[in-house]
Amino acid sequence: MISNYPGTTVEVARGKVSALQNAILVDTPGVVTFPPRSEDELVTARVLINEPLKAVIQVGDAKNLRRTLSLTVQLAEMGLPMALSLNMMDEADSRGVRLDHNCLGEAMGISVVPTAAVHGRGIKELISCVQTASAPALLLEYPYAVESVLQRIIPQLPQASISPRSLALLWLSGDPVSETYMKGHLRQEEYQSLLAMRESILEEALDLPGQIQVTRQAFVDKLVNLAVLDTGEGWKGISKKIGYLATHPVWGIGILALVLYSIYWFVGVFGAGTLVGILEENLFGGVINPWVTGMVEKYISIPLVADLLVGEYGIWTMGMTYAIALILPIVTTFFLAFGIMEDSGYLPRLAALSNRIFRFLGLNGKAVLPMVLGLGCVTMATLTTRVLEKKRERLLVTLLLALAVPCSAQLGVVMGMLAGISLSATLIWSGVVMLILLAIGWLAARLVPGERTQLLVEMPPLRMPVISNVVVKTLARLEWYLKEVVPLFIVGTLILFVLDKTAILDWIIRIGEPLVSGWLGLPAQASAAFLIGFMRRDFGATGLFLMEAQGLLNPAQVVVAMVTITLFIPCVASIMMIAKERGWRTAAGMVVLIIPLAFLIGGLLNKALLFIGWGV
Amino acid sequence: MAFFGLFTPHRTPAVSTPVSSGVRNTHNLAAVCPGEKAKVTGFSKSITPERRMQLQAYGINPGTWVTVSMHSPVTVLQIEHLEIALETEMARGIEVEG
Repeated sequence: MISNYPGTTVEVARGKVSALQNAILVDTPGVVTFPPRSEDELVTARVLINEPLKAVIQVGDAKNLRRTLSLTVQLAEMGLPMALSLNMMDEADSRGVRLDHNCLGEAMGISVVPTAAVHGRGIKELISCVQTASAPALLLEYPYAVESVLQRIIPQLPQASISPRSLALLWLSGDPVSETYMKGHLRQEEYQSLLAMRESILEEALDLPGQIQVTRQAFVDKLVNLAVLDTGEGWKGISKKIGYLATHPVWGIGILALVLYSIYWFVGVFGAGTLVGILEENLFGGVINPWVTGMVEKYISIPLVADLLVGEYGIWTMGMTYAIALILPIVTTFFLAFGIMEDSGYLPRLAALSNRIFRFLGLNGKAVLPMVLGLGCVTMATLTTRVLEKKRERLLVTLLLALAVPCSAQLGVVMGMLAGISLSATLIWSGVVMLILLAIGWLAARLVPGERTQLLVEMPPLRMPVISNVVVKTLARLEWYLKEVVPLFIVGTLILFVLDKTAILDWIIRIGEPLVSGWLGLPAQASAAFLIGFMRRDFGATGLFLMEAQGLLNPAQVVVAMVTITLFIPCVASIMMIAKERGWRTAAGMVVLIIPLAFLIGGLLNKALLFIGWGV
Repeated sequence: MAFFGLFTPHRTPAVSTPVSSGVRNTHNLAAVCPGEKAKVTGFSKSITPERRMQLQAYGINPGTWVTVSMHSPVTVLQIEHLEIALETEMARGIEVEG
């Protein structure tokens, strides 16, 4: 996925390129430098060290040559055949940057191709360069202290796809990926002796990583002096001015309000209102569902099977109708809006702007990316916490996502219900959820050991989003989402159907009565909604939506139910993702923490609303 | 006309070219006024080696000229065509002159 934000790609994507026969292209997350500092960068380091790569293509920013070349030098030292694509050449041109790319290639022994990928410029040339690329012959000479250590280490290293020299340099710089690789490919005593050597060097207080860095930097400086004909200094484009305003403490808030309002209008009013109205009421309610029901009644004579398909808990009438008519328009509009924000480069500015709030939560502004994405899909956002540097931050953000960030599907249902009551209902709901988010976030930050990491983030220039880019990304996210949602909706409906037919549902409703009716003050049938809330909380919310439509809930009950279901665990898929990324114990811990907390807050709110006499 | 800074995204730097005469003013990046330029001279102890490597990867190296565009809500720097946002505490650990 291409995006104007470092950190959109957090996993490796593999695909075929028609121009490169029999080859598989591996797209890895972006890297600033090695050793990697976050989990997504680790993914890239692992690919380089572990996989049998034929060639490497580095896609770098042409207008920031120094930064691009810092990585190129490291890649060239690895000895894999490589080509450097000096990308965003169009932007470099418009800023008056002029480069001599040929001399760069000669100095490092690699092919250097200027490209502007969004316009397809230079791509053919890049592909042909990759096919003929040979191993670069770059050999940087480090200070004596480094070289003597390298000479001692290199003979003891295991075979790897990258050069022994670069493996040794990585390991000396404290890189975790090379460490794992060496541990896995050496006998224990061999690795221990290497480790002892490294420790004795560190005890001598020789700053080897620093010396390595200085040598590389000096080489990069030389290259930059050679290749940059015009730095384009003093350029002041409109995007720079808007970028400045978007981060400004006063104007930035105004721009944020405008952005939020646009998203609200596009996703909330247009997606959840207009589109859902057309699809659910007109298309499904008026045309498709009556037709399907008619066909089923005509051709299927077994009542149980007919009921399974088009009954109250029918796979078509409930599962598919929810998934396609209610949820799909909301997530589609959200992902489009998110894609535009991502492509425009606004998100890193939001990270800078929101840094203060996240400091309060023991985090830094970078956490805004998974949090905003969580408003689209919490499962996807849990995966994206990989962009955060420390395990502690990933854990904190995962908790907040699971507890208090409603995904777009749920948000759509919740907003639809609350908007039908009054503005104060919406304010109570959002106020309580925000309060819980801040309180639990603040508390968790103080309980989870470790220090807060300070913000350090690159801010790419603001650009006009490329529509084709946004559409492709939205489609990819929708495919991911549908594959996850539709089966769950069908399984959820099936479970409800079975529970209903076997009268277990009635039993569960009775069992849950003290909690649901006594504590939360809801009708006993709401137990069923919370039960399916275990599958997906938006599914649970939809169940409550139906209850409200039948006139079973008063305003206070709607607000209590919505707060409880919002604070509920997101969905089965997100729990699986938490388990995958953070481990089963963490996932189990979160479930054990979140479910009682959701009911506790819901019940307290019920008492509070009863006390002040709101909506009863 | 500095109405919330709207019309002055980048004030004319007080020092637009490297200082070549007089006593050089040594301080840290957090003390550089928005719109002004400074030359990085080194890093203080508060910057961990790991952080220093990241900063250097972004091109914040001794000898490099950087332009500060703001300090609030965070410090924003410009190095050639690259914009970096960092917390002001971190900027305090970057030693500069000029």
